[in-house]
Amino acid sequence: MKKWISCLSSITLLFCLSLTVSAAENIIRLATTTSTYNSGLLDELLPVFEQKYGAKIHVLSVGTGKALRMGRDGDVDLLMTHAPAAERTFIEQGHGIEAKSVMYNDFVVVGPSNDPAGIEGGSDAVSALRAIAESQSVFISRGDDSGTHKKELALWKSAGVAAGFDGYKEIGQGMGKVLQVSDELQGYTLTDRGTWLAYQHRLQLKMMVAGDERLFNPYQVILVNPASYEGLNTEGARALAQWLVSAEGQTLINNFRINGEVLFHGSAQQVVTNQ
Amino acid sequence: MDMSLLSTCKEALALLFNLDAELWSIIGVSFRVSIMAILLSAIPAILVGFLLAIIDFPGRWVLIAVFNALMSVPTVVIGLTLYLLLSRNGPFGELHLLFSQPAMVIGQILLCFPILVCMSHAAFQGIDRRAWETARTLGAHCGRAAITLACEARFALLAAMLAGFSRIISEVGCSMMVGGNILGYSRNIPTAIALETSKGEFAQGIALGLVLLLLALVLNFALASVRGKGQLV
Amino acid sequence: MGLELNIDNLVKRFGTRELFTIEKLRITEGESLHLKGENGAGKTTLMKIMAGLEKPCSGKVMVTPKQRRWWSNRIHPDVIYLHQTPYVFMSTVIDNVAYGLKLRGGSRQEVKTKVQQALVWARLGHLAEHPACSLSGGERQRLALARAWILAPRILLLDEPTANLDRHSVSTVAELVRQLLEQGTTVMVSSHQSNRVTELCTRHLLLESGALHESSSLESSSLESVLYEVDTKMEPQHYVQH
Ligand SMILES: Nc1ncnc2c1ncn2[C@@H]1O[C@H](COP(=O)(O)OP(=O)(O)OP(=O)(O)O)[C@@H](O)[C@H]1O
Ligand SMILES: [Mg+2]
Repeated sequence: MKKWISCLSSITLLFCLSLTVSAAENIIRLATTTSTYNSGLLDELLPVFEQKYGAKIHVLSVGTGKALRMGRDGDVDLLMTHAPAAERTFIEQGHGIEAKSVMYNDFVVVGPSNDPAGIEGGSDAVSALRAIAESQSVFISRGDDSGTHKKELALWKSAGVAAGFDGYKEIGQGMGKVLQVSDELQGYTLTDRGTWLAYQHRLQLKMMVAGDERLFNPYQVILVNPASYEGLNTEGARALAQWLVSAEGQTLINNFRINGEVLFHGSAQQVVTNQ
Repeated sequence: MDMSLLSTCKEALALLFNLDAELWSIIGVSFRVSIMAILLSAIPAILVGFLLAIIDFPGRWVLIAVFNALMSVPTVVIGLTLYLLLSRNGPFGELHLLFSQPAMVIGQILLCFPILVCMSHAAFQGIDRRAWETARTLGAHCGRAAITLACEARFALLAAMLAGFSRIISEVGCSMMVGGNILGYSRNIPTAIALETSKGEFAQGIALGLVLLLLALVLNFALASVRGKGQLV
Repeated sequence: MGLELNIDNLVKRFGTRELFTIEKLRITEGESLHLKGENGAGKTTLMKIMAGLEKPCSGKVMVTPKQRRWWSNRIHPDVIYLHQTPYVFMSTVIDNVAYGLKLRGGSRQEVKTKVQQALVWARLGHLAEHPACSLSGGERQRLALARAWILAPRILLLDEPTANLDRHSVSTVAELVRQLLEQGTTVMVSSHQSNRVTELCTRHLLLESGALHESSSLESSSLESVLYEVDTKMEPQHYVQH
């Protein structure tokens, strides 16, 4: 009995010690937004890079606000975000360098099938939002300072409506959660196409508005400024950024499909304009 | 739609029994980190509990009250504090510990330490003063007598360890903050459940929940079996 | 090389209440003492102080020759105190008896044979593998004696070894104490009744109203009968004390 116990405990001990040791490789820390991560794109892209360069990528999926904060604090090496205005300030303040536009996808407005605001099939996002506010329909907002939330606020601003009408609800959660809540409450919401495609089959919501220029959602990668902090893996981060905009990376992005639908479009050749 | 719970559970079981590599790596991380944390904190915490029980110094009850209060600090608060300390911007930034397993271990140690202290203090308090005196008069020095007392309180101490372990194996706030939920490295059962449910992948969430439930059952049965059938001694 | 225990101006207080003051007491090797006193007189406290388990408020207890151990100079390894109601460790009878010997670090074989001897000595052989907490009061008392005997103490402080015991058990304990005395161990027994165990003692001490008196055995026996009458009127719970 005693032998048994000591045997068992030594095995557990070995097991515990085994993993914490394996931290000495070439690790690149990539902070990205939850919506990107949840789309599954990175699961497709990153292993290819890891194999080729013998690196290990640690992906931290958080809201855009937190991702930028992590970059400012030097806790990650590379950022991949989609909030152009915030990114511009980030670079202007000297926290990041070498921004590269990688790809874009777009936002869509989705809503309940009975469509109380009557916006289905439109292509003007701003007037659609105005219609939602005017009909006092339910609208679920991320409310978490994410890229999507920032985009939504900008749209409300151009619509000239104060976000805060009767049906407006901020829930402070991730995109998937917001879609689930909208489904339960029969409300409208603004979502990125990736998450929408991933969730579509288990929701009763329908796509309402898509294809507006103003729903354009550009992604950039930004290196955290190595001048601010020591010990960053800038080398690895740069290699990853360059690989993402290389022909190989761009092809992989363009070939990524969810339910047979294209989600992201490589944009390395285009110049991203801030709205 | 009504069958969703049933089908989700079925899917979850399939994931578990098909030895889904990702799922098992998550389980492995969880166990490694939490076992490490409990092993590292057990001896110091039990020692503190012992000293609180045996030494009478002014302000002892204050310290006990503080440890009791620390038990109920939300895990995210500990996580946030630790995050700010370990961030490159923070005082311990040079250690480069943020978003790593050691950081998770530290967080979990902070979480289970007060529980272990309070429960072991109670365990030692429950022991007859004569046990200490008997050990001492039979020639045990203080340390040895302390070990004897710990042996006398072994079931209560085991229960304390179990309570501490349950708290850390199932906590999500702190691990999420300082571990970063990195797949294959710092994603453990609770953070994975949080992520999967947010993605709407309920099957994996349930599979992991089942693992936690099973673990709780196994540990509690193990404790109950060494302790006897719950009768008084 | 006789072992001597000297008490010098010993004072013990609990809060503001003074329990006793003992100016001088000398106990030499091979003596047998009977410590009397009413409930709450301080017998247990005195014996614990003598064994180094409790601190006096002033004065000291000296055991000569000194045997310093690096961790403590208060508790002398040759002085062993046995509780009024013995505490048994949560393990088997054998483990309980072997406890002190294992601490001293004998070889496994040595410990084993000694434990067997002790069990035979205390007539606990048939209970060797039983969990100690299942023993009866008298068996526990014998277990405590065996646990001390195995360490061959020079001074043994027995706190009411016969409280709660029936006539037969008392004579068993008395027999064990007699053997200890024969081996030259100093034994001090506290008890308010006179019985087979205290009859073995040659010196009689009385702890009364904060002071220690030494009396001749004749005087004490008359006093004992008085005390004994008082005791029989009291509820038995009074004997159970930790
Ligand atoms: N730790 C303590 N704090 C306060 N008072 C104490 C403490 N220990 C003992 N006393 C008091 O000291 C007195 C003497 O106690 P002690 O146990 O020595 O009595 P005793 O002579 O052994 O009595 P008995 O015959 O009942 O065993 C008692 O009145 C008890 O209340
Ligand atoms: Mg007493």
